[in-house]
Amino acid sequence: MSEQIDELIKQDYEAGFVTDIESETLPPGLNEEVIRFISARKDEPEWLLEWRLNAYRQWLTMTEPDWAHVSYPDIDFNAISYYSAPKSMEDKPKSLDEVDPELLATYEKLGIPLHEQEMLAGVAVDAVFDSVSVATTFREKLEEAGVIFCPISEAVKTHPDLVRQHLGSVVPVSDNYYSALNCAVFSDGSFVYIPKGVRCPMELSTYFRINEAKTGQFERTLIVADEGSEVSYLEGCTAPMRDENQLHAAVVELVALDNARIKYSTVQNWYPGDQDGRGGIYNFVTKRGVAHTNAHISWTQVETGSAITMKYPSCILKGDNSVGEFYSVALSNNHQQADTGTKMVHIGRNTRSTIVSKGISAGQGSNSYRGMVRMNPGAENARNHTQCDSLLIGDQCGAHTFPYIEGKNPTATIEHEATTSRVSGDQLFLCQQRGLDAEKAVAMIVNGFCKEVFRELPMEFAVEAGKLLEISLEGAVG
Amino acid sequence: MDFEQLAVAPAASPVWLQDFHAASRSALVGVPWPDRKTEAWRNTSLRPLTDESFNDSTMTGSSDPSEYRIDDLNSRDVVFVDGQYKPELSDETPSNVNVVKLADASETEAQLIRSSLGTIVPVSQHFAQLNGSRLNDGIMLRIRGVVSQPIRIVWQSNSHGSLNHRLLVLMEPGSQATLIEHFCGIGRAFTNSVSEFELAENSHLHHYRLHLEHEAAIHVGGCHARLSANASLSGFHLGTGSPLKRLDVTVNHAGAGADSRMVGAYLPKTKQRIDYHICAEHSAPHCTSESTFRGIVADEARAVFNGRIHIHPGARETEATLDNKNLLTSYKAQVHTKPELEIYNDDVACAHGATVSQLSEESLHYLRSRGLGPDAAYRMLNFAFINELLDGASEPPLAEYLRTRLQNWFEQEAP
Repeated sequence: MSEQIDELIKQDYEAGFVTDIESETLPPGLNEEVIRFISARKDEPEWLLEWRLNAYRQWLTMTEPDWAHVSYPDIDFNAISYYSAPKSMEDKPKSLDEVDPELLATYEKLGIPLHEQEMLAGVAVDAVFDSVSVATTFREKLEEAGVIFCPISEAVKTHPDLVRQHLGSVVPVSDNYYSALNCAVFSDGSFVYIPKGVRCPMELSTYFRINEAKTGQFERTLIVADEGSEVSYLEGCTAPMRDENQLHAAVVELVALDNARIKYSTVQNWYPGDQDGRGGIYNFVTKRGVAHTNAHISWTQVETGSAITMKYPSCILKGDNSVGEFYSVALSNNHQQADTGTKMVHIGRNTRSTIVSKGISAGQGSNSYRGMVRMNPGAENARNHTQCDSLLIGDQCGAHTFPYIEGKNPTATIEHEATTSRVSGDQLFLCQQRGLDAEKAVAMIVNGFCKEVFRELPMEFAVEAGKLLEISLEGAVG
Repeated sequence: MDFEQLAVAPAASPVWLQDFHAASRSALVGVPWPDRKTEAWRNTSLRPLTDESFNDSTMTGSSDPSEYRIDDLNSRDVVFVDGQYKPELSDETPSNVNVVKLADASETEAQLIRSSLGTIVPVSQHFAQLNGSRLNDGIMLRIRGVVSQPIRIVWQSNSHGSLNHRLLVLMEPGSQATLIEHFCGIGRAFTNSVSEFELAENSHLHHYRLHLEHEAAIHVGGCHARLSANASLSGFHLGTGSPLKRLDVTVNHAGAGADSRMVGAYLPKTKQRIDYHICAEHSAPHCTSESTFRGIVADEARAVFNGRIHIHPGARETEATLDNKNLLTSYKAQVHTKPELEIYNDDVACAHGATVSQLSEESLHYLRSRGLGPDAAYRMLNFAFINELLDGASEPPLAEYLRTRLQNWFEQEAP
């Protein structure tokens, strides 16, 4: 079987190609001048520049976190370029026809429905190519409903009050090392506002893509769901093959006001590095949502990419009766390292949270679940249920669980359970006996293992996620 | 405060012990004093220890044997009072149990001691290294064959001094014994205790560690076991709270087929703190470990539980489970629990679970519908929650003694 493994493990990264577009890239390095340059390029108001500079000054006083169960060489933050824009964007295209055809071809290779999107499930795509939004579609239909969905650099100008009110309200500037860095140099990202009582007429989607070599990507997403509104947001990632490690430090903030619902789904497929652990993306992302009274925030993620992942989508359950959910599948194969999980902070009464985390380790991968559930003294009758399961494939991988559970209210209930096991010989034998080859059998077993999470994904994503997992796992069978 | 500063070796020790002091001390060079940012101490403050000074001159060594009397236990006692070994209060031990004062060890005994002492407790246990650097009056127990009577080490502290307890137990191949560590006393001392257990092939040890000392006594310490092939350890831990009580328990399954079962309960109340850090290390194949810890946290108390299962590469066919349940009985009570798994091998079956809640309304209702008053129902359920753990105790008189203490404990505490 080991020959089979070797053969299959050599599976190439399907999204690994480089688009040849002239880019305007800032030379590597970080100082106040760079921040002033980024801000000036984007024609930002004075307050935002000040906000960035303040974040940068705070960042300088902070130290890199070292508590995660991952190891990687020191990052030289002065070797990264903090701004890159495709040159043909100098004059903004008026319609899709004016977009650089090569750019569109890139997305087509990735299967992003930019041209065929009308036919495909009514998904509006705000495609981010390196740092500048390329094209935003379905704007009119959304505008009809009063939904604002635009690049954040544009929202700063068109809806400054909304942005200023909520930007940094969920993830404060000095929250952590990478969020402070993001505040200082964020390139672009998406802004969503759903007005009171509106159910967003379509699922919103954005694709991130790191293209230019040695450029970090510092996305910033802000979603505000006003009272009684509802939105489902999809995020997908792929990146071309590179030898150097690339840093991705995004910040996502969700604000769910009273009775609002936000569903945020991610399929993350950044380049994971080759089978010897060279290259790959460092994915150090801060994602957090605040749920007000009766609000509902749900995070669903499927993580198959990145060399190193440190990511903890969290919910602050501030309002009474608010609900937080976290469904995650994280896979680490070859030399991938993932330290991921969630935080559920119960502040309001009758708040509820559910955590379902499925970790799969194969090859020499290391997969850690790190989660925190805190019941504050005021979290009367709050409930949490956590289930985190790990599946090990191969005897050189690692699966770890580090849950922090804090109970400060006697009426609150916390339940945590975790299991670790492997794909057993018996299971494999049973499937093979019925005519499946080992590869298919493992894919089926893993799919079953992840079913609870896939069920939470929007349909288009569920299909992609299943396929992605299968591709990522090929060859890992022992 | 600094670890290195505190590492003051006692005068006039044998040469081998001086070497041991130096080795322990060298493990503390440059080690910072733990604060809230130290992961192992993030929820337990050392302030009660650093804020107070402990006066060794108050140590009288006088003892009250009635305080640790357990009816019908029929144990062979080895008694320490204020850190000093008291042969006059101790029983004669059976012929297959050697009791050796570390400072009095013969050359061959010293050799035996050196091969185990300090090698079982992890180097990262800085308070244990501190204990080693100040080691003066410890003992070694060497057990051969089957010892039918339970052996009890009584650690009584009646003063306000700083105590340094050390115990080394060597279980010879095939030996069997029951060992009770009974901490008691009326002193408000600071105790740094380290117990190490070396279990040779096929040996079996029942170990009880009872922390029943004065509610103002500060205790930082723990017990650490190394299990050779097919050795088995069954441990029972009971801890009442104090301003600072931190206990580290590690079991290293170093030989194939080793097996451990650990049961524990912690009961802090008022403004007390208690912190159990337990760890099952699996470095050999075919081992099993099972840990069950429960806590009832009352008033403004805070409990910390950190349970770790660490499976090294090569520890094939390991089965390990950990279970931690907590009851909060007051709005100001807090519990921090962290069940951890760290696994580097795919041929394992591991599971852990943790819960935090209050007594269920249904259970209370059930008992009340059977005619019990609310207080009685409440007490009965609290008692039952812990009593379940005592059911597996190998020494019925000891279990009975603890039940009575628990009953009294819950009597005092009204809902």
